[in-house]
Amino acid sequence: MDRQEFEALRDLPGKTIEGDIRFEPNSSTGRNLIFGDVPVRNDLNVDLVLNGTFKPDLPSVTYNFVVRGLGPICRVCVNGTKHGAAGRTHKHDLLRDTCPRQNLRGAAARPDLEGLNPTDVWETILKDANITHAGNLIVPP
Amino acid sequence: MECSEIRDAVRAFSLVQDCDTVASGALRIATPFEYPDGSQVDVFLRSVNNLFNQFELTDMAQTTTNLLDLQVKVWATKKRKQIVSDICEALSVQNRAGEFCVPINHIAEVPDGIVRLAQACIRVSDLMYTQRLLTPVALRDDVEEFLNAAEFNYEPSIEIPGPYGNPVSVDFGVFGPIRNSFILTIGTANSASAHPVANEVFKKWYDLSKVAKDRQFISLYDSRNDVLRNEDVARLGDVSQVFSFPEQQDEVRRALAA
Repeated sequence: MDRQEFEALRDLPGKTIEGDIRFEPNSSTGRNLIFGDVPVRNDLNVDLVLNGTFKPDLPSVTYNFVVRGLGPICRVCVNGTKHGAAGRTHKHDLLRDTCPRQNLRGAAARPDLEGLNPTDVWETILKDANITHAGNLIVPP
Repeated sequence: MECSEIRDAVRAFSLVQDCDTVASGALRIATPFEYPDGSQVDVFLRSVNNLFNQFELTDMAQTTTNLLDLQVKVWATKKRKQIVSDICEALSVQNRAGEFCVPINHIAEVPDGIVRLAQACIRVSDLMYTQRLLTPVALRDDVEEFLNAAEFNYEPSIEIPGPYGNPVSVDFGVFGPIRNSFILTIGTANSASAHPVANEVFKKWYDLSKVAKDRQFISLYDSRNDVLRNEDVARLGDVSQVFSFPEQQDEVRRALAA
Protein backbone atom coordinates (compact mmCIF):
# COMPACT_ATOMS: atom_id res chain seq x y z
CA MET A 1 0.00 0.00 0.00
CA ASP A 2 1.44 3.37 -0.92
CA ARG A 3 0.62 6.82 0.48
CA GLN A 4 -2.01 7.50 -2.16
CA GLU A 5 -3.83 4.25 -1.42
CA PHE A 6 -3.63 4.94 2.31
CA GLU A 7 -5.13 8.41 1.88
CA ALA A 8 -7.91 7.00 -0.30
CA LEU A 9 -8.76 4.51 2.44
CA ARG A 10 -8.45 7.09 5.21
CA ASP A 11 -10.71 9.57 3.41
CA LEU A 12 -13.21 6.99 2.16
CA PRO A 13 -16.64 7.78 3.57
CA GLY A 14 -18.94 5.12 4.94
CA LYS A 15 -16.41 3.09 6.94
CA THR A 16 -18.14 1.34 9.84
CA ILE A 17 -17.44 -0.67 12.96
CA GLU A 18 -20.27 -2.81 14.28
CA GLY A 19 -20.76 -3.71 17.94
CA ASP A 20 -19.11 -2.78 21.20
CA ILE A 21 -15.36 -2.52 21.65
CA ARG A 22 -14.15 -3.62 25.08
CA PHE A 23 -10.75 -3.15 26.65
CA GLU A 24 -10.19 -6.40 28.52
CA PRO A 25 -7.43 -7.85 30.69
CA ASN A 26 -5.12 -10.49 29.23
CA SER A 27 -2.94 -12.87 31.20
CA SER A 28 0.05 -11.97 29.00
CA THR A 29 -0.06 -8.16 28.99
CA GLY A 30 0.50 -7.34 32.67
CA ARG A 31 -2.08 -4.86 33.96
CA ASN A 32 -2.71 -3.47 30.48
CA LEU A 33 -6.11 -3.94 28.85
CA ILE A 34 -6.43 -4.81 25.17
CA PHE A 35 -8.81 -5.50 22.35
CA GLY A 36 -8.00 -6.79 18.89
CA ASP A 37 -9.13 -7.80 15.40
CA VAL A 38 -12.14 -5.46 15.28
CA PRO A 39 -13.19 -5.32 11.61
CA VAL A 40 -13.48 -1.90 9.96
CA ARG A 41 -15.86 -2.40 7.03
CA ASN A 42 -15.16 -0.33 3.95
CA ASP A 43 -16.29 -0.13 0.34
CA LEU A 44 -12.77 -0.84 -0.94
CA ASN A 45 -13.00 -4.31 0.70
CA VAL A 46 -9.63 -3.84 2.35
CA ASP A 47 -9.13 -6.37 5.19
CA LEU A 48 -8.76 -3.60 7.80
CA VAL A 49 -8.88 -4.32 11.53
CA LEU A 50 -8.34 -2.33 14.69
CA ASN A 51 -6.54 -3.20 17.92
CA GLY A 52 -6.05 -1.11 21.03
CA THR A 53 -4.22 -1.01 24.35
CA PHE A 54 -5.07 0.89 27.51
CA LYS A 55 -2.39 1.12 30.22
CA PRO A 56 -4.17 2.33 33.36
CA ASP A 57 -0.99 2.68 35.45
CA LEU A 58 0.35 5.52 33.25
CA PRO A 59 -2.34 6.18 31.88
CA SER A 60 -1.83 5.68 28.14
CA VAL A 61 -3.97 4.54 25.22
CA THR A 62 -3.14 3.33 21.71
CA TYR A 63 -5.45 2.71 18.75
CA ASN A 64 -3.84 0.88 15.85
CA PHE A 65 -5.25 0.14 12.37
CA VAL A 66 -3.85 -2.89 10.56
CA VAL A 67 -4.32 -4.24 7.06
CA ARG A 68 -4.09 -7.97 7.60
CA GLY A 69 -1.19 -9.56 5.76
CA LEU A 70 0.42 -6.11 5.29
CA GLY A 71 0.86 -4.57 8.75
CA PRO A 72 -0.13 -1.42 10.63
CA ILE A 73 -1.06 1.62 8.53
CA CYS A 74 -2.11 4.16 11.17
CA ARG A 75 -1.69 4.41 14.93
CA VAL A 76 -2.58 7.00 17.55
CA CYS A 77 -0.63 6.93 20.83
CA VAL A 78 -1.51 9.10 23.82
CA ASN A 79 1.10 9.32 26.59
CA GLY A 80 2.92 6.35 25.05
CA THR A 81 6.60 5.71 24.39
CA LYS A 82 8.54 8.77 23.20
CA HIS A 83 8.98 8.98 19.48
CA GLY A 84 11.73 11.47 18.80
CA ALA A 85 10.53 15.03 18.40
CA ALA A 86 6.91 13.81 18.22
CA GLY A 87 6.98 13.14 21.94
CA ARG A 88 4.68 10.78 23.83
CA THR A 89 1.39 11.79 22.20
CA HIS A 90 1.54 11.38 18.47
CA LYS A 91 0.10 9.79 15.35
CA HIS A 92 1.88 7.36 13.04
CA ASP A 93 0.83 7.25 9.41
CA LEU A 94 1.85 5.18 6.42
CA LEU A 95 4.18 7.38 4.35
CA ARG A 96 5.65 4.77 1.97
CA ASP A 97 5.10 1.11 1.23
CA THR A 98 7.82 -0.09 3.62
CA CYS A 99 6.19 1.57 6.64
CA PRO A 100 3.85 -1.27 7.72
CA ARG A 101 6.68 -3.79 7.87
CA GLN A 102 8.70 -1.36 10.04
CA ASN A 103 5.78 -0.69 12.39
CA LEU A 104 5.33 2.89 11.12
CA ARG A 105 8.62 4.54 12.05
CA GLY A 106 7.43 8.06 11.29
CA ALA A 107 5.21 9.99 13.71
CA ALA A 108 3.84 13.51 14.09
CA ALA A 109 3.02 15.16 17.41
CA ARG A 110 -0.66 15.48 18.35
CA PRO A 111 -0.78 17.90 21.28
CA ASP A 112 -4.56 18.20 20.80
CA LEU A 113 -4.91 14.66 22.17
CA GLU A 114 -2.81 15.16 25.30
CA GLY A 115 -4.69 14.52 28.51
CA LEU A 116 -7.78 13.14 26.79
CA ASN A 117 -9.38 9.95 28.09
CA PRO A 118 -9.64 6.84 25.84
CA THR A 119 -13.23 7.61 24.87
CA ASP A 120 -12.49 11.19 23.81
CA VAL A 121 -9.46 10.02 21.81
CA TRP A 122 -11.66 7.44 20.13
CA GLU A 123 -14.30 10.02 19.20
CA THR A 124 -11.59 12.21 17.64
CA ILE A 125 -10.24 9.30 15.60
CA LEU A 126 -13.71 8.40 14.32
CA LYS A 127 -14.23 11.97 13.12
CA ASP A 128 -10.76 12.30 11.55
CA ALA A 129 -10.98 8.92 9.77
CA ASN A 130 -14.60 9.02 8.58
CA ILE A 131 -15.62 5.99 10.62
CA THR A 132 -19.03 5.36 12.15
CA HIS A 133 -19.01 3.17 15.24
CA ALA A 134 -22.36 1.47 15.74
CA GLY A 135 -21.68 0.45 19.32
CA ASN A 136 -19.93 1.61 22.50
CA LEU A 137 -16.31 1.79 23.55
CA ILE A 138 -16.14 0.14 26.97
CA VAL A 139 -13.24 1.08 29.22
CA PRO A 140 -13.26 -0.46 32.72
CA PRO A 141 -13.13 2.16 35.48
CA MET B 1 10.97 4.58 50.68
CA GLU B 2 8.83 5.79 47.78
CA CYS B 3 9.99 6.16 44.21
CA SER B 4 9.59 9.92 44.38
CA GLU B 5 12.25 10.05 47.09
CA ILE B 6 14.90 8.54 44.83
CA ARG B 7 13.89 10.27 41.64
CA ASP B 8 16.69 12.83 41.84
CA ALA B 9 19.26 10.08 42.34
CA VAL B 10 17.88 8.12 39.37
CA ARG B 11 17.86 11.20 37.13
CA ALA B 12 21.59 11.58 37.66
CA PHE B 13 22.39 8.32 35.87
CA SER B 14 23.66 8.86 32.33
CA LEU B 15 21.28 6.23 30.89
CA VAL B 16 18.29 8.24 32.06
CA GLN B 17 17.25 10.71 29.37
CA ASP B 18 14.08 11.74 31.12
CA CYS B 19 12.25 10.73 34.28
CA ASP B 20 8.71 11.44 35.38
CA THR B 21 6.17 9.92 37.76
CA VAL B 22 3.18 8.08 36.33
CA ALA B 23 -0.29 7.59 37.78
CA SER B 24 0.63 4.43 39.70
CA GLY B 25 3.50 6.23 41.49
CA ALA B 26 6.23 4.46 39.53
CA LEU B 27 9.08 6.41 37.95
CA ARG B 28 9.00 6.31 34.17
CA ILE B 29 12.54 6.39 32.81
CA ALA B 30 13.08 7.19 29.15
CA THR B 31 16.27 5.39 28.08
CA PRO B 32 18.45 6.08 25.02
CA PHE B 33 17.61 2.61 23.70
CA GLU B 34 15.06 2.28 20.90
CA TYR B 35 12.55 -0.30 19.80
CA PRO B 36 12.82 -1.30 16.11
CA ASP B 37 10.16 1.27 15.21
CA GLY B 38 12.27 4.12 16.60
CA SER B 39 10.36 4.75 19.83
CA GLN B 40 12.39 4.98 23.02
CA VAL B 41 12.36 2.10 25.46
CA ASP B 42 10.78 3.18 28.74
CA VAL B 43 11.57 1.30 31.92
CA PHE B 44 9.68 1.88 35.14
CA LEU B 45 11.05 1.82 38.67
CA ARG B 46 8.46 0.88 41.23
CA SER B 47 8.49 -0.02 44.88
CA VAL B 48 7.67 -3.63 45.75
CA ASN B 49 8.36 -3.43 49.47
CA ASN B 50 8.50 -0.04 51.19
CA LEU B 51 9.61 -1.55 54.49
CA PHE B 52 12.76 -3.10 53.07
CA ASN B 53 13.38 -0.52 50.32
CA GLN B 54 12.97 -3.10 47.60
CA PHE B 55 12.24 -1.95 44.08
CA GLU B 56 12.00 -3.45 40.65
CA LEU B 57 12.55 -2.21 37.14
CA THR B 58 9.84 -3.26 34.70
CA ASP B 59 8.72 -2.47 31.18
CA MET B 60 5.08 -2.71 32.37
CA ALA B 61 4.39 -5.05 29.44
CA GLN B 62 5.00 -2.26 26.90
CA THR B 63 7.17 -4.57 24.79
CA THR B 64 4.46 -7.22 24.59
CA THR B 65 1.72 -4.72 23.79
CA ASN B 66 3.88 -2.93 21.19
CA LEU B 67 4.16 -6.22 19.33
CA LEU B 68 0.36 -6.49 19.24
CA ASP B 69 0.41 -3.50 16.88
CA LEU B 70 2.10 -5.83 14.40
CA GLN B 71 -0.34 -8.63 15.27
CA VAL B 72 2.45 -10.58 16.92
CA LYS B 73 1.17 -12.23 20.09
CA VAL B 74 4.21 -13.24 22.09
CA TRP B 75 2.26 -15.85 24.02
CA ALA B 76 0.47 -17.48 21.11
CA THR B 77 2.98 -20.08 19.89
CA LYS B 78 5.35 -22.44 21.66
CA LYS B 79 8.22 -21.21 19.51
CA ARG B 80 7.74 -17.56 20.51
CA LYS B 81 7.34 -18.46 24.18
CA GLN B 82 10.59 -20.42 24.03
CA ILE B 83 12.43 -17.54 22.35
CA VAL B 84 11.24 -15.10 25.02
CA SER B 85 12.16 -17.52 27.78
CA ASP B 86 15.66 -17.96 26.32
CA ILE B 87 16.18 -14.19 26.04
CA CYS B 88 15.07 -13.57 29.62
CA GLU B 89 17.22 -16.37 30.99
CA ALA B 90 20.31 -15.08 29.17
CA LEU B 91 19.84 -11.58 30.62
CA SER B 92 18.61 -12.62 34.08
CA VAL B 93 15.32 -10.84 33.46
CA GLN B 94 12.05 -12.15 34.88
CA ASN B 95 8.94 -12.58 32.72
CA ARG B 96 5.78 -12.14 34.76
CA ALA B 97 2.53 -12.26 32.80
CA GLY B 98 4.11 -10.45 29.86
CA GLU B 99 5.97 -7.90 32.00
CA PHE B 100 9.76 -8.03 31.97
CA CYS B 101 11.24 -7.25 35.38
CA VAL B 102 14.56 -6.90 37.16
CA PRO B 103 14.63 -6.77 40.98
CA ILE B 104 16.58 -3.85 42.48
CA ASN B 105 17.88 -4.09 46.04
CA HIS B 106 20.12 -1.03 45.97
CA ILE B 107 20.02 2.13 43.91
CA ALA B 108 23.53 1.36 42.60
CA GLU B 109 21.99 -1.61 40.74
CA VAL B 110 19.72 0.62 38.66
CA PRO B 111 22.07 1.33 35.70
CA ASP B 112 22.93 -2.33 35.19
CA GLY B 113 19.25 -3.21 35.55
CA ILE B 114 18.28 -0.64 32.93
CA VAL B 115 20.79 -2.06 30.44
CA ARG B 116 19.70 -5.67 30.97
CA LEU B 117 16.00 -4.87 30.89
CA ALA B 118 16.28 -2.64 27.81
CA GLN B 119 18.29 -5.33 26.03
CA ALA B 120 15.56 -7.86 26.80
CA CYS B 121 12.89 -5.46 25.51
CA ILE B 122 14.76 -4.86 22.26
CA ARG B 123 15.54 -8.51 21.67
CA VAL B 124 11.97 -9.60 22.33
CA SER B 125 10.65 -6.84 20.08
CA ASP B 126 12.73 -8.34 17.26
CA LEU B 127 9.91 -10.89 17.12
CA MET B 128 8.32 -8.23 14.91
CA TYR B 129 10.28 -9.85 12.11
CA THR B 130 8.02 -12.89 12.51
CA GLN B 131 4.96 -10.76 11.83
CA ARG B 132 2.27 -12.37 9.75
CA LEU B 133 2.61 -11.29 6.18
CA LEU B 134 0.89 -13.32 3.48
CA THR B 135 3.16 -16.37 3.64
CA PRO B 136 2.62 -20.10 4.20
CA VAL B 137 4.25 -19.72 7.61
CA ALA B 138 1.68 -17.02 8.41
CA LEU B 139 -1.24 -19.47 8.03
CA ARG B 140 0.54 -22.04 10.21
CA ASP B 141 1.07 -19.36 12.85
CA ASP B 142 -2.61 -18.35 12.59
CA VAL B 143 -3.68 -21.98 13.06
CA GLU B 144 -1.36 -22.42 16.03
CA GLU B 145 -2.78 -19.28 17.65
CA PHE B 146 -6.27 -20.69 17.09
CA LEU B 147 -5.35 -24.06 18.64
CA ASN B 148 -3.75 -22.30 21.59
CA ALA B 149 -6.70 -19.95 22.14
CA ALA B 150 -9.18 -22.85 21.92
CA GLU B 151 -7.02 -24.74 24.46
CA PHE B 152 -6.52 -27.81 22.28
CA ASN B 153 -3.77 -30.19 23.27
CA TYR B 154 -1.48 -30.13 20.24
CA GLU B 155 2.06 -30.66 19.01
CA PRO B 156 3.53 -28.72 16.06
CA SER B 157 5.66 -30.28 13.28
CA ILE B 158 5.20 -34.00 13.84
CA GLU B 159 6.91 -36.68 11.73
CA ILE B 160 5.26 -40.07 11.23
CA PRO B 161 7.00 -43.11 9.70
CA GLY B 162 5.46 -43.53 6.24
CA PRO B 163 4.50 -46.77 4.49
CA TYR B 164 7.24 -46.44 1.85
CA GLY B 165 10.27 -45.83 4.07
CA ASN B 166 10.12 -41.98 4.14
CA PRO B 167 8.81 -40.02 7.12
CA VAL B 168 5.67 -37.94 6.58
CA SER B 169 5.54 -34.57 8.31
CA VAL B 170 2.35 -32.79 9.34
CA ASP B 171 1.92 -29.25 10.61
CA PHE B 172 0.05 -30.20 13.78
CA GLY B 173 -1.07 -33.25 15.72
CA VAL B 174 -4.12 -32.47 17.85
CA PHE B 175 -5.18 -34.75 20.69
CA GLY B 176 -8.96 -34.61 20.94
CA PRO B 177 -11.26 -36.02 23.63
CA ILE B 178 -12.35 -38.90 21.36
CA ARG B 179 -10.18 -38.80 18.25
CA ASN B 180 -6.76 -37.50 17.45
CA SER B 181 -6.22 -35.43 14.31
CA PHE B 182 -3.47 -34.38 11.95
CA ILE B 183 -3.57 -30.97 10.31
CA LEU B 184 -1.86 -29.82 7.11
CA THR B 185 -2.07 -26.18 5.97
CA ILE B 186 -1.97 -24.73 2.48
CA GLY B 187 -1.02 -21.13 3.10
CA THR B 188 0.55 -19.99 -0.12
CA ALA B 189 -0.67 -16.70 -1.62
CA ASN B 190 0.97 -17.60 -4.94
CA SER B 191 -1.41 -19.17 -7.46
CA ALA B 192 1.49 -20.82 -9.32
CA SER B 193 2.58 -22.78 -6.28
CA ALA B 194 -0.88 -23.57 -4.89
CA HIS B 195 -1.46 -26.61 -7.12
CA PRO B 196 1.90 -28.31 -6.36
CA VAL B 197 1.41 -27.62 -2.64
CA ALA B 198 -2.10 -29.16 -2.78
CA ASN B 199 -0.66 -32.19 -4.57
CA GLU B 200 1.97 -32.60 -1.87
CA VAL B 201 -0.73 -32.46 0.82
CA PHE B 202 -2.77 -35.08 -1.07
CA LYS B 203 0.32 -37.33 -1.25
CA LYS B 204 0.86 -37.02 2.51
CA TRP B 205 -2.73 -37.92 3.34
CA TYR B 206 -2.57 -40.87 0.93
CA ASP B 207 0.56 -42.18 2.67
CA LEU B 208 -0.82 -41.58 6.15
CA SER B 209 -4.10 -43.33 5.30
CA LYS B 210 -2.07 -46.58 5.26
CA VAL B 211 -0.38 -46.14 8.66
CA ALA B 212 -2.63 -43.86 10.70
CA LYS B 213 -6.13 -45.12 10.00
CA ASP B 214 -7.43 -44.06 13.41
CA ARG B 215 -6.55 -40.38 12.89
CA GLN B 216 -8.70 -37.66 11.47
CA PHE B 217 -7.05 -35.79 8.58
CA ILE B 218 -7.79 -32.07 8.27
CA SER B 219 -6.65 -29.83 5.40
CA LEU B 220 -6.79 -26.06 5.97
CA TYR B 221 -6.41 -23.51 3.17
CA ASP B 222 -6.21 -19.74 3.63
CA SER B 223 -9.62 -18.11 3.17
CA ARG B 224 -7.93 -14.78 2.47
CA ASN B 225 -6.30 -16.03 -0.77
CA ASP B 226 -8.34 -17.30 -3.68
CA VAL B 227 -5.53 -19.35 -5.30
CA LEU B 228 -6.60 -22.98 -4.86
CA ARG B 229 -8.23 -24.67 -7.84
CA ASN B 230 -11.67 -26.19 -7.28
CA GLU B 231 -10.43 -29.60 -8.41
CA ASP B 232 -7.61 -29.47 -5.85
CA VAL B 233 -10.11 -28.78 -3.08
CA ALA B 234 -12.33 -31.61 -4.33
CA ARG B 235 -9.39 -34.04 -4.59
CA LEU B 236 -8.28 -33.21 -1.05
CA GLY B 237 -11.86 -33.81 0.05
CA ASP B 238 -11.50 -37.47 -0.97
CA VAL B 239 -8.74 -38.03 1.57
CA SER B 240 -9.36 -35.43 4.29
CA GLN B 241 -11.80 -32.93 5.71
CA VAL B 242 -11.14 -29.61 3.98
CA PHE B 243 -11.84 -26.24 5.57
CA SER B 244 -11.22 -22.64 4.64
CA PHE B 245 -9.38 -20.95 7.53
CA PRO B 246 -10.11 -18.68 9.36
CA GLU B 247 -13.51 -18.42 7.67
CA GLN B 248 -14.59 -21.87 8.84
CA GLN B 249 -12.82 -21.89 12.18
CA ASP B 250 -16.02 -22.85 14.01
CA GLU B 251 -16.32 -25.99 11.87
CA VAL B 252 -12.65 -26.75 12.48
CA ARG B 253 -13.18 -26.41 16.22
CA ARG B 254 -16.10 -28.83 16.09
CA ALA B 255 -14.16 -31.34 14.00
CA LEU B 256 -11.19 -31.29 16.37
CA ALA B 257 -13.40 -31.58 19.42
CA ALA B 258 -15.26 -34.62 18.06
